Amino acid sequence: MVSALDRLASPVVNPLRDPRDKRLPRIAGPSGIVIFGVTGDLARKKLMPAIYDLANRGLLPPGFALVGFARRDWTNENFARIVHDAVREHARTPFSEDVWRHLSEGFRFVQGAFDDDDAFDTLAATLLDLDRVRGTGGNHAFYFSIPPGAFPVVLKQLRRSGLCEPHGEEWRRVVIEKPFGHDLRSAQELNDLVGEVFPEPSVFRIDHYLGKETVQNLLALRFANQLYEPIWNNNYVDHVQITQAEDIGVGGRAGYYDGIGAARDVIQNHLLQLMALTAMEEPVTFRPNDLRREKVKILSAVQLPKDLASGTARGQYAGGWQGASKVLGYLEEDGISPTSGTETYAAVKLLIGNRRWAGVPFYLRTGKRLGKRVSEIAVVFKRAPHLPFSRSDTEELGSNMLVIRVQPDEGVTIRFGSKVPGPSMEVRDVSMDFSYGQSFTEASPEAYERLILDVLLGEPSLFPQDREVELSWEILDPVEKLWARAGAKLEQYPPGSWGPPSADAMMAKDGRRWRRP
Amino acid sequence: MIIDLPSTTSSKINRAMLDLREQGGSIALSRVLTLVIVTEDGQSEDPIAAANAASFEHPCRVIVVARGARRASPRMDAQIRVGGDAGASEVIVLRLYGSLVDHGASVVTPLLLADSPVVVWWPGEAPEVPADDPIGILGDRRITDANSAKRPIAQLAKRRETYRPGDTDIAWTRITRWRGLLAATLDQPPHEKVTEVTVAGSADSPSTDLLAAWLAWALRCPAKRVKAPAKSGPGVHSVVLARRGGNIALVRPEGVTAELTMANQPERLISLPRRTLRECLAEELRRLDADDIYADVLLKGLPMVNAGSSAKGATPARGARTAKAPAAKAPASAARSRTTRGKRSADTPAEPAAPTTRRRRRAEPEPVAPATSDGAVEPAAAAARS
Repeated sequence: MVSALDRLASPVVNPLRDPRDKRLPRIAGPSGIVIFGVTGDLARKKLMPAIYDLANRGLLPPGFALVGFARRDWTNENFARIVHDAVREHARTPFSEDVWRHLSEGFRFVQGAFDDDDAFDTLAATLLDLDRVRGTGGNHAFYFSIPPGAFPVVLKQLRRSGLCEPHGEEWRRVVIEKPFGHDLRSAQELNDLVGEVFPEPSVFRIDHYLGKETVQNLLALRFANQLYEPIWNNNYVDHVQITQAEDIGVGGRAGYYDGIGAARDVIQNHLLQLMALTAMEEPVTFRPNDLRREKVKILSAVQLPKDLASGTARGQYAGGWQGASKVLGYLEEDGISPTSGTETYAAVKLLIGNRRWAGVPFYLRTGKRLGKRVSEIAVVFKRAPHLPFSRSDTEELGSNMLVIRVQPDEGVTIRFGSKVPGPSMEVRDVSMDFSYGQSFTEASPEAYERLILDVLLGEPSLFPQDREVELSWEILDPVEKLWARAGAKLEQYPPGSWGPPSADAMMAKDGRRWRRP
Repeated sequence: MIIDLPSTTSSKINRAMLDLREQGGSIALSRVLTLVIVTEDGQSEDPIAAANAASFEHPCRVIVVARGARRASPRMDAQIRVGGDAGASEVIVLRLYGSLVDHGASVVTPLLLADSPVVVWWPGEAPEVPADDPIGILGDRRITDANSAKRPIAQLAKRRETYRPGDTDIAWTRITRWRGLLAATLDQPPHEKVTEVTVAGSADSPSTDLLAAWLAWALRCPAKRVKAPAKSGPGVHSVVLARRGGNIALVRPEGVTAELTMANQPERLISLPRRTLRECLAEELRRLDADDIYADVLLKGLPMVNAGSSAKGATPARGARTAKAPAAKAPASAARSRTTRGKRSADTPAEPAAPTTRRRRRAEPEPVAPATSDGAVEPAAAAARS
């Protein structure tokens, strides 16, 4: 979709890259990645398998290097073993000894703590050695898979050791995961902090939803087709529901989650990005700047409802039976204080102040221990102003909807009314469906593969920039302040349900209700 | 699920497909294209397996036209495979016998999916002019495989003569990774001009010819296509891009791992195995418009490749330079090929080849001694033959 083919790292034209040559894969140039926090879940389940899959697809350069940095007392071989196990367990492409062998020759491990000057000097020496021996060309990406509290010290070390400084035509990039701060002020501080060490074009913020095929398909659907654009506005759209639900609880992530909550964890990043892509105006081209310009524009037009309290809802999951297992409530989980005021469910109503969307509410909701794992965007259309059918015949008729299923079962559905077979003219809703089919095929790259490759290629379109992050916090901050003032006693909802009663009340007040995804 | 329909007609097959959908519930997978595979009875399982594998990326309806015995009474046996037996697609295998063998188009037409593009693939022997073939006419895209012909290089020359937009050949698909790696080397500084290109591969590898042709056409510099050392196995062996500041060499000595060497950089290894059929097919199905680059390389690039005329063929490791032979003629008296298996070369350059020694090769029919004395390709001569 967002083709990186028309953008080269250097302005010189490569005679072997004809723009008409769509087969030609865009292989990353000589490079390597350093992962801080390499012992964490993300590295093991997503990053290492993604790197292997990229190598298996032939998209990594020969001589690619992966450096792990952690406190463990590991040798290079121990580290290779860890990566090997992670890859065997989580990679999406079949395992190839050859690919593995060549890839693993570029693995290195540096032991150290973040405040350890010597360790970072060793890291610098290791990278120089990799340049010499593996040919990584001085191009290194630093992946921060670490808690935000550790950012300042690691950044300081990267600056002190000179690792953030590229020489000549080299590049040095930093990759950071959400959360991008805790609120607007901390986000700005974080941006400033990172910005002191890496210029903005070298900063890549991962919102892995943007790497998903279906999310990119949203742009294709809207802008490649004539069919949808005429109805994509407040003349025809009644409201939009954006949902991200998980059926699991906090589990082992309690330490991270408490104090953050569902709204900061999901709404601030994934759901606002999805909203931006759904609502934005058509970009002039799909070049990164044009795309981001539209996203910033739409995010700056988002407004909160005047009556904030009735336009938001939150809750915590209680204990009980969910899908054949007995589960603990949030306040009973390990590591969670029984007086915690962190929400595991958050819903918020947003409006957009522009001609296209005035009067169309966007309802965003997310939660843990909900009915099932699903992410989707449902554009719900207005009902026809006049129905020539009798009331009873159209009682079962709902609203037309266009639903983009982000995960699982990626695809697009349109719901519309159709005549029920039989002697009378009864109308009922049916679905017209387009599905990507199998979601675990090796053919379609996983989000992290796509994003890591784009980091190595220096292709920024799929990464939110600092202004987007700040605008997202500007939207969420008032909600968080409201909730902080409202106290720490939250409504409970049964596990496996679709949220607390206040969420339904929020919709009912507007004469609407939540879709069952 | 497999459903056999012996002695059947296309409309009965259509009826069966509809029944399947109604009884089994919609499989809810949209089909993005129809893939028609034209092959001989008994050679269809490998292509079907490749199509099933590719179907995860491109859910499609696969119609296999398997030509059986001509000396039988006209009959069509069909087999429908859906669900687990067919990947993410539905497969309809049509076995044709008797005079029906030549009328594949008439049985295929009713089974083509509405609106969707049609891709026709000949995994084995392909017609003279795919675009004029009765089934080929139905296709928006036509895929052939020069490698599976008895005389691959000659086949490639024929593809060149009969090219129409929408044609591609899997010999071209096989080198995509090579091309990607080579393009990536030129992405990096120093951005010096390439002065000469040498591509080595096995004598009957049309992929090697196309690789040399692409480089010649894209880089606008002299390009040599030479024969690789005999033990290097099939396919492309090496590419050397000569530059003033130092050569770029990508060498794959044994068909599995490639070595990339550039000036001022350490030698780097990368896995570069020969591509499987399923990978090639998945790539082919990704774009359904005409491949302009393939057209340019086939029509304009191939004639730009000079014939190398050294006795054994240059190997980049030794940096041997091959002497240039005049493009349109290889002198009959030029040095004989001294391959380790003692093939004798053909005398007239115009004749693409007379098969001489039978060489044991993987999945290839008769091998061929190439046109010129040292084994380099002579596309201009081959074209001149017609």
